[in-house]
Amino acid sequence: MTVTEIAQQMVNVLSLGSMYAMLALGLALVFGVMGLVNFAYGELLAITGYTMYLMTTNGMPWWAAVLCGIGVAVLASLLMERFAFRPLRNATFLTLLFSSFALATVIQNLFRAFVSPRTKGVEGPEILGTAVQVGSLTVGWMSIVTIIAGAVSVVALTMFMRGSIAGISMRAAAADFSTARLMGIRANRVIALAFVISGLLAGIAGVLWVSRTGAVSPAMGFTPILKAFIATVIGGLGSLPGAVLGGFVLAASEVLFIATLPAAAQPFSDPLALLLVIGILYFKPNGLLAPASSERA
Amino acid sequence: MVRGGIVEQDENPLLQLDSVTSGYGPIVAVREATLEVRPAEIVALLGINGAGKSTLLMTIVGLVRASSGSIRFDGAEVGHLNPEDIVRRGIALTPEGRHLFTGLTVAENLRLGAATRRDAGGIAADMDEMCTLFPILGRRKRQAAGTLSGGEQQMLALARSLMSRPKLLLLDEPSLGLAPRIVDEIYEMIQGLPSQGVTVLVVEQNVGLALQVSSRGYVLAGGQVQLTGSAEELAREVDLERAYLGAGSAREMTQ
Amino acid sequence: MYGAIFAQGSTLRLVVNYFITCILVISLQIFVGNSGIVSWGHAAFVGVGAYVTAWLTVPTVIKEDIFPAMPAWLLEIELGFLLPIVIAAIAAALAAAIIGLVVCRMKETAMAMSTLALLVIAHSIFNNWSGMTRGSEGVYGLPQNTNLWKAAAFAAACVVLAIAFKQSRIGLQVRSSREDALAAGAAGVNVVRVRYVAWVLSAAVSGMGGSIWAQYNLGFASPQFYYAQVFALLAMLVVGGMSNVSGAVIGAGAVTLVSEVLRRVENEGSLFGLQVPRISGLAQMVVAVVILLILIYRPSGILGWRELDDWVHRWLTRRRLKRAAQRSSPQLSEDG
Repeated sequence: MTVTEIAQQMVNVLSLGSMYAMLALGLALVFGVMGLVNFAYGELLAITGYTMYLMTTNGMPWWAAVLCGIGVAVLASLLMERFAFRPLRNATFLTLLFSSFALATVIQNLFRAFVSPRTKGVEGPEILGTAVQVGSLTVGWMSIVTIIAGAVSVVALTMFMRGSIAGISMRAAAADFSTARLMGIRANRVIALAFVISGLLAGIAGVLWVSRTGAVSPAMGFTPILKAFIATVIGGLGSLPGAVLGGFVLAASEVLFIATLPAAAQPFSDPLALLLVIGILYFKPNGLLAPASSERA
Repeated sequence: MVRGGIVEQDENPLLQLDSVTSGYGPIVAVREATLEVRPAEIVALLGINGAGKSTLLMTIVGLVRASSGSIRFDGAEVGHLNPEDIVRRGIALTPEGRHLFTGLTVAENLRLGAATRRDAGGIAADMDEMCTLFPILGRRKRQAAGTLSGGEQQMLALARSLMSRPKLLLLDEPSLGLAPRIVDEIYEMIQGLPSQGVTVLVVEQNVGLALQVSSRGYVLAGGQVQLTGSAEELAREVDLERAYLGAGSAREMTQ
Repeated sequence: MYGAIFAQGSTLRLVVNYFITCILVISLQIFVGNSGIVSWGHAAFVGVGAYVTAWLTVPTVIKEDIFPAMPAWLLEIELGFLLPIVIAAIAAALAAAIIGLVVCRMKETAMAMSTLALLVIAHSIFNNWSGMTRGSEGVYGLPQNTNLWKAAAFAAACVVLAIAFKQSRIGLQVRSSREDALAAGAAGVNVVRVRYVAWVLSAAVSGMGGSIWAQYNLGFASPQFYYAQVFALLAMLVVGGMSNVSGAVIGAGAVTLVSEVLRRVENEGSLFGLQVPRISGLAQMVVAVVILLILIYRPSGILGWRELDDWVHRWLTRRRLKRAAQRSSPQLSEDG
């Protein structure tokens, strides 16, 4: 491969990785404070998408649809926490996982019922479909926006988690929930905050996802949550740097397989990446950034 | 007020437990415990491993729910509250095994101790004070708490508890696993707390050490308060060993 | 013959599909119910069973048409009812044996996640290996070899098998690892090995179920081996009570019944004569809500921890005791 081609692929990895990293971060945040892998998280992206669809088809400008989409995602996330997950606060990991799956099914069917079972198109600003020349590279505006959004999200989140008492409290609660309560930290607030930030990340990711694919469909939430899930598992469940790392590792392996596999084997690029994940889980059951011997799993 | 070994009831104890029973599911760890702690006192809670001392502290602070009895702090009933709410009323617990946030820095751990306070200036001033009081902490401010030695971690745990400016400090086995020199330092610190407005209830297996700093003590065995009296009386008690094995009810010592 | 009662088309189909569903849910129970580890991947084994059966039973003429990648010796084969079932079960067990070498060695949470990866991988293979599976367009031309009695017989046999396994020494050892794998290991249980056995056995039953299903429904396609179906089966298991076999049967019944009623409502727009708005996906949504409610309020399922016969026994005992009490003190019983 030529240098240009390699550079092109690196841009792809950066762009795809940023998306996956954002998804993984949202998932990891909630897992950290609650031990819940929220399968309904992908539905937040769908909720954002459908909000944007409803607004754009009713004549609202795109930027308003984006803001509303993100806002609705945050609201939905909070509602999820309050009504579906708070009653299950002390359930086992698998019960939580399964309940979130049930919730995701409910939401998907709500789309099917109240909007349409069919895929619908969402039009975004034209500029996002175009590309820009950087030297010999062709970089799409979509990729640029995604990379910037990802970078800003990661930096902002890091600053929040290290610099504010709310962020430090969340990290403490994720590390040791009981002792955090001994410091006077309110359990409900910390968890709600995690869901708010998670919803915000999902909203942003949802905007990007819908802009990239140009469509919404009832089952669209499954792929993002699958990617996020795999990325967090690779990086280490509950570890925020791990989530980011996992997102990029997953993106890199997908791009690698897409670039190197012959055309006939292309559809197998995702499953191959998953085989890689199983391999990682075998040697490091707690993810790449966690010590293999820790008892978290 | 203590006079001639007869312990008199003060009208306004800071902490008052009345017939408190608690445990874990079917296991009863604390049985009808009655005790009190008065302002500016240091009270020792003694007993062998498994006597229920840690459970008692955790019940006071709300991490374990009491199944019967009443817990009054600063005049109000607190037995039914969440730990966060009990702590916010002015109690701090330094748990056995310290339970530091090992992945967070020393500074962040201290900051978390003051999580319930809103006065940024006061918090910063207190953090500086802790670092002066425990110079080790000052030097290792940016290090992860997990990298500290056992003694340093205990100091951090203590400092973290003090950051909330508690009225009552509950200490669970502060000397466990530490070198004698460090233990002395820590206990010197503990001794000075009442003069700063902090009342202390300290759980200790090291009887001699505990009785040196405290004015009164309770002996717990099998979850029940077996013995109580002033520090001098307990120190003199020849049958302290027997009290651990006995199954009698609380008995006050007279001269 | 009693079969005549169920002869009406859609009701017959419902009942036969219920028995087949029982087999599939029981296969899940064998692994998930005993080990406590959720497996998302059993759809892979059902699929293996179904596709292998298709390869073996679809008439040669049709096979030549739809499976361009099939080797000549396979094209020639056209088998009856039982042999494909056996081969399908063996094939599924083989797949599970290989996969299990890696997956069963993992800790519980890691293993559960790997089964999710397995689901996606299997679905991708079914979807994309069109030469042998015809992907999302689907296989057709399967003979309808299954009937009501065969399905019921196999379902009953599976119930017996699952209960026998549950109470066998290995089954007991798997269950001991469910609450606390570490403690079980310390007590001398080879947790990995017994889980492996449950894994392979449950896969074999899944494969068998897939084969019987394929030989009833005349055709199928790759989307039917994905997460919607997995979720439905797991839901039935949870509703009935994971840890026991009767729970699997009852859960399957409850969900099938409710789904069927709702499906009719969805199609006809009326419930017992009342007009109901046509809501697409209503059935799935209601089932999911019910699952959620059960998980919140009764996480051990309708039947809880005990098998059905145990519940009956307890009810009978309670009645006996009440009667004995009434006989000995007639005055007390007047206040009821």
